[in-house]
Parts: sequence; structure tokens; C-alpha cells
Amino acid sequence: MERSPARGVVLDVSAVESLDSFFARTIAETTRMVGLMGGHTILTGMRPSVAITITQLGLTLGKMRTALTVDRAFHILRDGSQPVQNHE
Amino acid sequence: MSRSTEGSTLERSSAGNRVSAGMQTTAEHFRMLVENMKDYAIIILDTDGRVASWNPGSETILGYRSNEIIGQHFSRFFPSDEVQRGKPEMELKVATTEGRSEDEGWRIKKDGARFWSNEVITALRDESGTLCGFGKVMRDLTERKRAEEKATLQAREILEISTPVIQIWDGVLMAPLIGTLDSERTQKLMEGLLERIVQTNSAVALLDVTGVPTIDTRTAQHLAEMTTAVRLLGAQAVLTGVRPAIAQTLAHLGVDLGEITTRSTLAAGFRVALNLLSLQVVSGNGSR
Repeated sequence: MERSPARGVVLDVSAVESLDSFFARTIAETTRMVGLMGGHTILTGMRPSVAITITQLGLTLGKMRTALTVDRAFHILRDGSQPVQNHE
Repeated sequence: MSRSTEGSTLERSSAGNRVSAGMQTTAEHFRMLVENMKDYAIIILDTDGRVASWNPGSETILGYRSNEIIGQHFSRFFPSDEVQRGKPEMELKVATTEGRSEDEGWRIKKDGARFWSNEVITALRDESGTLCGFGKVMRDLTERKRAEEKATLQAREILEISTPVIQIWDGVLMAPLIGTLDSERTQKLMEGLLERIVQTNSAVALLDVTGVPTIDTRTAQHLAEMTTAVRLLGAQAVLTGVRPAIAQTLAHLGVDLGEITTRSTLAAGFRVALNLLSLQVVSGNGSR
């Protein structure tokens, strides 16, 4: 992020089949760090089974933004910092 | 006075007679019971498991006449895979060491048909404790078994049809929730909903609770979990059909529905969905 003029990070987790609390924390921390550097992190491609595991374990990934596909994640990044949801 | 004494003597003697007459016929009664019993197969096995005695009930249930089965090993009542696994010997072993062995399972009749049997094997020992054989009582519970299987199947089917997920717009899914939401149903619905979101690439899921009579803490918790999972996938859930009564309960329960967007009607929720879509997919939906 430092070397490139990136506005944000898209984390594609579509190949992740299972997730534990450590991984969840790592993602949350990464998001916070990217945020401190002025960028946005968008999580994409999470599998249903992984999402179910996360909710059942009661894990939180913080206030992270999510998108169904990498494509949509780019759209969100391109539209800038404008909040997409929840502020209606 | 004398009459009463006489009466009591008479009574006592007649009672005594009845008892002794009963004692004499007890064995006979038991024989009659075993011979007339049609609903239970009552079989005596020798210590090796060969049939030593066979009542009419056994013939009704298993189909063999007593002259064709006496002397045969009782393992022929078991399906071949059970025999290979050593089930018949196991039953005798358990009965020998523990006195009895109870089991339920598919057994085979003479004509090869299967029936669901509930059975008990009891070790028969004489006064010195020597093993003389085994008593096996079997009952045909096929009808009950079939009814149970049917009930399970129907319950599963009801579960399937009670949690539909419908695509109502390009990018909008709707799940009409009806009846009480327990953990099992929520789990099922959540799986179905998440799969559909990925499949149809839908950004919004409307969870309509118009058909839910009451909401308790658990249900609210389930709904919160569901919306979190939906959000993790990159979509958003909107709770619609929140009637005054349900709103009241939710407020009273103090359940943290967090960031869930809620609307009182499905129509209002749909407006939210379209709004969200046009915000997210600017180029795609802007022209529509």
C-alpha cells in the first residue's frame, strides 16, 4: 500500500474453505491497519459455509465492508469513501 | 357367631382350593399362552442357538412351520450382512453374560421378506445356574417402523417447503418466514439463503416476518445471526413485515438487532432494496 497509490485493499477469500478465530482476528487487524493508512478494505467471495461458521462462533470481523464479487468491490472502491449502506 | 365362623372356614378352604388348583394349572396356562399367542414369536434356542421350540406366533411372523425350523440355527432370521458382522453370536454372548439382550432391526422371513423386529433374548438357567438355552421373543413392528419413517420424511419435507427463498428481482431475494423459527429451521434457511445469494449474485435479501406469529429472544438472535452471515457474503439483509406487536416484543426484549435495516411492510423493504441496488450498481441499474 505504501509503494503504490492504492486507495484500498480487496481481500478475496473465495478459496478459503474454513476459518478460525486467529484468521478472523488477522483480517480485522489488517482492516484496521489499512484504515489507519487511509484506505478501505473490502472482503469478497466468502463462502456460505465460512459465513455460517463465523456467525456460529460469534466472531466479528469488525465494521468491514463486504462485496459479493471482486468486481463489485472495485465498484465500491471507485465510488470512493461514500458509505454504501447503513446510512439511509 | 357359629355361622360366621363356619363361613370364614368355608371361605378359607375354598380360597385354598382355588390356589392349589391354580398351582396345578399354572404350567398348563403358560403352555396355552405360548401356543395361542399370535402376536409374539416365542422361541426356545439351545445353548448353540439352534431352534428347540417354536410357537404358532413364530410361524405367523417368520413363516416357517415348526417341523422345518427345529434344529436350524437362528442366524437364518438375520440379513446376511448382519450375520457376517457376527450379530447372532453377539446376541447370544450378551444374553449369556448379562442375562438378556434386546435389539431392534430388520429380520428375514422364510419367503425372504424383511420385517422390523423388536426382540429380547433371555438366558435360561436352571437352579444351579447352568445355562440350558435361550428364550427369544420377537415382535413384528414393521408397520410402526414404516409410520415412523414416513413421519420423519414428512417432517423433512415440511422443513424444506417451509423455508423457501425466492428471487423477486434481479439481485433481490426474498425469504417469507412462516410459523415459529427454531434453531433447526433457521439453520436450514440460512444455508439455503446464503447458497442462493451466491448462486444468483444477489446484493439484497428481504427477510419477511409477516407470517411469524411471535418473536422471542432466540428467534431474534437467529435473525441477527442470519443478517450477519448475509453481510459477510457481501449482501445485505432487510427485515420486513415487522408488525406493531413484533416491534413491541423486540423493543421489550432489548435484543440488539444492531445494523439490521427493518421495515414495516414488504413493499417498503423492496423500496430499500431497489435503493441499495441503484447505489451499489450505478451503471447497471441507473438506466432502468
